[in-house]
Order: sequence, then structure tokens, then C-alpha cells
Amino acid sequence: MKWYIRLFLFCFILFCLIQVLSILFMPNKSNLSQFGVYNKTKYELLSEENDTIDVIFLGDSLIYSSIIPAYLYNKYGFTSFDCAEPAQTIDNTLKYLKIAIESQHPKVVFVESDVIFRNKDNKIRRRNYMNRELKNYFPILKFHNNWKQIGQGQSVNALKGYKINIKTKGIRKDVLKQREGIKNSNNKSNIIKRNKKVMQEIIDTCKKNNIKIILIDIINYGNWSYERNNAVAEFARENDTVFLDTNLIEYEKKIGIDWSRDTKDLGKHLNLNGAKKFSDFIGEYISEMNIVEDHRNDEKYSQWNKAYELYLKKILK
Amino acid sequence: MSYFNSLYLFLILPIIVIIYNLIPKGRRYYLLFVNLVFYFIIGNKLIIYLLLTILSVFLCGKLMNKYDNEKETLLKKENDRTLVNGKIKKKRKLVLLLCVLLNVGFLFTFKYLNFFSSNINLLFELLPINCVINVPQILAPIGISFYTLTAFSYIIDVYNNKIEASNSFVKVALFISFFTQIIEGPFTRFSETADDLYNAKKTTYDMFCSGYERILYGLFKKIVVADRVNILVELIFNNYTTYTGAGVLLGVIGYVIVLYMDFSGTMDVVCGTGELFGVKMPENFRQPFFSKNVSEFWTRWHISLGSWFRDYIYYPLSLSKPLKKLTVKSRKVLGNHYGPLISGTIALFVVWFLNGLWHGAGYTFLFFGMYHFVLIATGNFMNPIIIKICNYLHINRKNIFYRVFQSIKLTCLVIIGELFFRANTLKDAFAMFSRIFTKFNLTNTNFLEIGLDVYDYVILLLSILFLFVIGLMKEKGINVREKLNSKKTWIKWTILYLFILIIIIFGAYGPGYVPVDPIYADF
Amino acid sequence: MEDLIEILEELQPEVDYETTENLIDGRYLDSLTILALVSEIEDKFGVEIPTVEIIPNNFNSAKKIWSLIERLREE
Repeated sequence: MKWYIRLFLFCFILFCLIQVLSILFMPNKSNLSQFGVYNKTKYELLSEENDTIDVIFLGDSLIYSSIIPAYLYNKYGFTSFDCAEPAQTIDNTLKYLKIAIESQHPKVVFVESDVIFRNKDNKIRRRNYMNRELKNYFPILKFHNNWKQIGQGQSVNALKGYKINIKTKGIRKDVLKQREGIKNSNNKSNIIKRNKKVMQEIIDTCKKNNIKIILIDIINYGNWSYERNNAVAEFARENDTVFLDTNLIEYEKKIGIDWSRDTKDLGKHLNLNGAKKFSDFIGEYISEMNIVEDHRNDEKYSQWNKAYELYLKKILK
Repeated sequence: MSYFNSLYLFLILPIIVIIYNLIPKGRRYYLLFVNLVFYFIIGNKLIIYLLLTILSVFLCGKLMNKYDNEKETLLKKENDRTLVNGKIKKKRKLVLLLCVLLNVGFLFTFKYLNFFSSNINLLFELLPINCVINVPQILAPIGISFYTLTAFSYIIDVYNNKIEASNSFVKVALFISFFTQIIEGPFTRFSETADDLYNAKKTTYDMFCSGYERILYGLFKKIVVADRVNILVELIFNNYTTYTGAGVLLGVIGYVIVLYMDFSGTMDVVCGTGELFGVKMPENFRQPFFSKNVSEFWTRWHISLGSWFRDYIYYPLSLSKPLKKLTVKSRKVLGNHYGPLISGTIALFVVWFLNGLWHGAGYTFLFFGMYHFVLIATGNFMNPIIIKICNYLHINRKNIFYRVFQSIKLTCLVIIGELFFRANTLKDAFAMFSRIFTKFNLTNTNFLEIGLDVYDYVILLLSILFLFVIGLMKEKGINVREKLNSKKTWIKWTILYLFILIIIIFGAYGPGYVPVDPIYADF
Repeated sequence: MEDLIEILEELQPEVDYETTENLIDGRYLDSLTILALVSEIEDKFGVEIPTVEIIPNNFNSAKKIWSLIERLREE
């Protein structure tokens, strides 16, 4: 039996070492005591300096593969963050929002409308989920790459929640169904009551904190339908909220997505090319709202310049 | 499924080991259960083919045993010894043939049917025959190329009376389906691992430590080195036209590094896992890049595959009656070296043809096999001439400079071979090969724009240096793990902690990295 | 035994067969030499070496090869 104890001791010391290192590698430790190790790892936004983010994007993979905060900052001057995870459930959207507004005072929050259709019990791929959760308990697994930034002062999160994907797997022109071909119908998809309630809470939370909330459906190929659009649009109307469906033909033309080049997986998600186009669209849209400031010459936001440089380096890969 | 899944290595595997040790009796049944569950999880319904293979070799082995026993009784009745022997031999041969045919049938259907039928269709198109064979895409059982050959080694050994057929189905099943080797090998022989598996010894502290040390060593090779270099390899092989010849060369060298680190790292994990259960697996790699020539390289790289082909194809073929006669005759005419060369080369051709085919149904793999056949055959042919030249020039062939020269020459040859192995098509391979020479253009190559930054290169250099030193120590016969384990506990633990933390911090995982798919698992 | 060493020396003169114990594992004899050796032994000693017997353990030293021959003669 003795060697079990020895083994246990070994693992325990290892665990302590890993935790200490984890904290060393964690970016922006100022709010560590406020949120704790687990949350700071799980919610990437918490590595940003307090009160520096103007726009928050909440949602699933559509968010983190379509919106590039560093690019937006460089071109339009406002700061933003993708608070997204694969197949985010609406409960997690609410949770992320609540955590976000504890340290940030954003002017605008975007919520990807897909979350409203996602049932809580939807199959999440178990193994991936467990691997992801594991990283939240051992932050070093997530932040280990910061060793490259050691010795350069505070380490910077270059992508701000965006996930680079340079792969291209486009849709062949002859299979592509044009959107004009899809007929509008008056039918609408069903939104389950519980999700409606949670979404209302999200909206209320924003309104209470003087944040403008916009429901957004990010352009993608295959997952969108008029039925879904009608359902969300009606819900938005009832709750006095803006719904921006970028899948509508007018927006598709404006964004200029080329489905043979701008997607990484036959239209389900955009790749880097597509994300730049979409970011341009959303950047214009936000600038026109006239509620965010240009921080590009502000000393306080200098780390964003560094983030942009790092982002450029990363996309060269 | 890769053995490098961290959840598997550090959660599931320890749990399997702990339960294994808590069971007081019948651990072998538990182990078999684990094997089957493991295979069911990765292979699902296709487990039925694994079971069929196991069952067929088990039953055929028993049948051969039965005939042997009949022989004794027949001999008592009958006086004509040779007649009885011949009869029994014939029967046993038939059983072997049936068993091999059945399993080759599975292997062929799952792995080669598509390749062959598409070739036949091509042939039909060339000849004016109006016929198209349609073969549906079938999903092959995982590890079929590995476990089938392992099963063959059992039944052939029984046939040759090298081992006695086992009476225990559990033992045969354990031997063929051991979960840690079923995806990527190594090929084991019944005499090597079956007893250990069947005895299912309890894990001791030393076994546990040294097993996990081996696993960590493999993990280091894979996630610090292979996964890092893989970024560059993927980029270059998929868009080689956008890179200069120097870039392409780097990519090709990188691929050899990835292949070696991934496969030998996997073998470290496999052997380490084996040690946890008291099973000593045969080594699959022995510092291959220290070899003198291509033929030696293949006795140090994927050893168990090479020795499988040697024992079950090469010698039986080259010492078969017709080829033996040929050797005797040709020796009289051509002398000692060139005499056996003819039959040796015939057998060598068959071996490398099959070896290429084993790696995959495709022309790049066949070319890869033929490339090595030509290299080794030429090597055999040239050897006496080279010795003469060296003697004439007074070059000492044991001289360190000559050894280094040999290693470099060998590495170049291997790199070219692996280029054909990895390239997407044969055409791409030739295009890349010529690009290295025609558009080398070193001055215009920016090595920092191929996915890796300065930090990555530094880590790679240091890691490879570290692995080289360990390799050198092993080559000198030093058992590194034994040395580590004999150190005082605090020294040993400090070293282990450092090693683990280095893997965690400098591992190439997370956003921006693409892990290497288990390369050999597809074969 | 002397005959055997003579054969071996003819095939591969660079080895000291009295002392070397790792003819195969040390790669002193390659597969082609084995082919020649087998046919020569069968010729000279009138035995037949089945392929099963061609394992390193039987060929690692001159002594071992000799004992293999003696064993096969008895059978």
C-alpha cells in the first residue's frame, strides 16, 4: 500500500506546482482575487483590463470565427471582445454576460440569435467538452503559450476571443443555391418558452446597465431559414430590441461573401478571409451608431496596438 | 483515436491500472475485457472482424495440435513413418492455408478492394471492354493491418512447431487484442508477450514509475517536437508551389522528423503502457539515424515490421526449394557474394512490394516500397566494390568521419523516400523533388514565414539535441530510465517535475497548433 | 567445427569467429551471407536447415551454428 501514498504525494506536489505556474502565466492578474482562477480561465474576457471594452459579442462558433476584434480596433478604433464558445447554450450566454459586466462597462452587446434555438440538452461532444473543462481547472494548459511573451512585460491576448482559421473549403459554384431562390414564408420556427425567458433576462440585464443590445444572426450557409428569421424577428419586436439578420439578401450583398473562397467548412463558418469581410461590415455598422469612441491615440489602450501587431504575426502562419 | 489524448493517458489509463491491481483474482479476464471494450469504443461493430480473426487462428491452432496427437496414435499402428508424416503434414498445411486465406480475404476486402477495382476499371477503359466494377467505400476495422499480421505470426509459428498451439482462447485473444498495441503496433510474437499477458502480474511501484517515465518521454517527442514541426510540414506539402526549393527541403526534412517523433513517440507510450501491466514489448526503434546503410536502417526503424517480413516472407521464400537450387547453382558461377544475390533479390522484391502495399493502397506507397527495394538491392550489389575502393584509397571504414558520412548519406536517402511517402500524389512528389534542385533560392527564403517563429526554432533545436544525447546514451548501451530510477527520490522527482513542466509549457498544443494525426494508425 | 569456420571465413573474412558472440545482432553476417552460409552448410554437412531455425539465437556464434548442425544431424 505504501507506494500508493508515494504516488499520491508525487501527484499532489505536481498539482501545486502546476497551479503556481498557472497563476504566473495568467495574463492581467489584477482581478484574480475578484473572479478566481477557474473563472479567469474559462472566461477569456477577464484577462482584459477593467473598463476597456466597448463592444461585446456573445454567442457560439459563428461569433469567434467571424469577428476579429484586433482588426476592428485597428480600422475603426473601438475595442471589442468575442465572448464565445462552441455551441454555447443560452444559459451560458447569460452567465458570460453577467460575469462580463462585473468588470467591463460595454456600450453595445451583440448576442448571436442561434443560442435561442439551442436546447439545453443538445448533444455536446462529450470528450471535447471534458477536455475544455479540464483546461479551466489547469489554466496553464490554456496559457502555456505565453512563455513566448515572458520578458516583454504584461502578456497580451492578441486575438481577443477570435479563433483564426485559414483553411478554405468553399462551396462549388454549381452547387451553391442563391439566396434569391429561397422563398419567404410566413411560418416561423418554434422558440421554447424557457429560452425565451432567459433571453428576456439577457435583454433586461443589458437595459438595466444602460447597454444597447442587438440580436444578430451571423451570415452562414445552410443553417439559416426564413422560419428562424421570422421567429427571432417577432421575438425582438415583442421585446423592443433590434434584430440584425445578416443572412438577408441585402446584407449578403453588402458584406460580399464569396462562398467559394471565404469559408472553411462549406459555408458553416467563415475563414480568415470571410471574417475580415464580416468584420468590416460590423465595424461600419457600429461606427454608424455613434456611441463608441476612437481609442487609437489613447495611451491607456496601448496594449491594443500590441495586440494588433501580434495578430498580424499570427495570421502570417 | 490517438494514444496521446491527455484524458486517456492521465485519467482513464491510471483508472484501468488501479482497478487491475485491486482485483485479487482473474486479472487476465479483466484485461481481456478492457481490450474488448477499448476496441468496441474505437471500432464499434467492426469488433466482429477482430473476434473472427482471433477465433479462426485459435481454432486452426487447436486443429493442428489435434493432428499432431493423431500422429502419435497413427505411428503406433502404422509402420511407414514417412507416409504418416506426409499425411499429417498435408492436413496441417491445408488448415494453415484456409486460415491464412480467410484473414487475407478480410484484409484485402477492407483495404485493397477499392484500389484494385479502380485499377481494373482503368484497365477496362484502356482496353475496349465495356464494364465498370462498382465497389462501395467500406470502413475498415481499426488496426486491421496490425492485428492480422500478428495473428499470422501465431498461426505460422504453430505450423512450424516453433510454439505449441495454445489451449486457452483467453491467451490467444489477449495476445492479439492487447489494447495498447492494436492501433499502431508493434507486431509481437506469441513467445514474446503472451505469457506476460496471461500471467497478468500486479503492478509494482518500479513498474509504474518506469512505465510512466516512458510514456512521458513519448509525449515529449510528440507534443513538443512532432506537433510543432507539423505546422510547417502541413503548410509546405499542401502549398509547395508557393515556397522556394529551400523551403520545400525544410518541409521534407521536417516531415521525416514528424514521422519519426510521432511514431517512435507512440511506441514509447505503447511500451510504457505495456510495462504497467508487466508486459515487455519488443522495441520498434533503435536509433535508426545512426545506421550505416539503408538495409541496416530497416533493422532499426519499425523493427517489428521488418522482422515480420524477414521471418515470414524473406527467409521462407529465399530458402524455398527452387530458390535454394538457384543459389547453389549461381554460387558456383558467380562466387560467394554474387551467388546468393539473385534469389535474395527476388525475395527482397516481394518483401518490399508487400511492404509498400502494407503501408497503404496507393501508388505513392508502392513507389516508396520499390524505392527501398532498389536502394537495398543496389547496396548489396555495390558493397564488395565499395570495400575494394575503400581499401585501395586506404579509408578505414570504422573511422568516425566515414561513419558520419554514412549517416548523412543514409539520412538523405531516407528523406527522399519519405517525400514520396507523404506527398499528396506521385506527381506532386516529383514536382517537389525537382523544385528542391531547380528553385533552391536560399537568400529569398524567409524561414520565419512558414508557421514557426524564432522561439519555436530554439525550442526545436534544444529538444532535438536533448533527444540526440539520450539516443547516443542508449546506443552506448546505457539504460537511462534505470539510471534515473536508481537516484535518490528527491533528485528523481525534481527531474520528473522539470520534465513534466517542460512538456506542459513548451508543448505545441492549443490554438494555432494542429496535432499530427496518428500516421501509422491508418495502415 | 574447423570446416564450419573455414566456410565462415571464406564468406566473411573480417570477423574473429573464435570469440565473436553476436554475429547476427552485431550485423557481421547480413541476410545474403546467411543465404550463402545455409546452402554451403547443407552442401557440406548433408543436413537440411528449415527456415524456422534461422533465428539470431542459432547463428550468433560459430559454436551455436555448430550445435545447430549437430542437432539437425541427430534428428
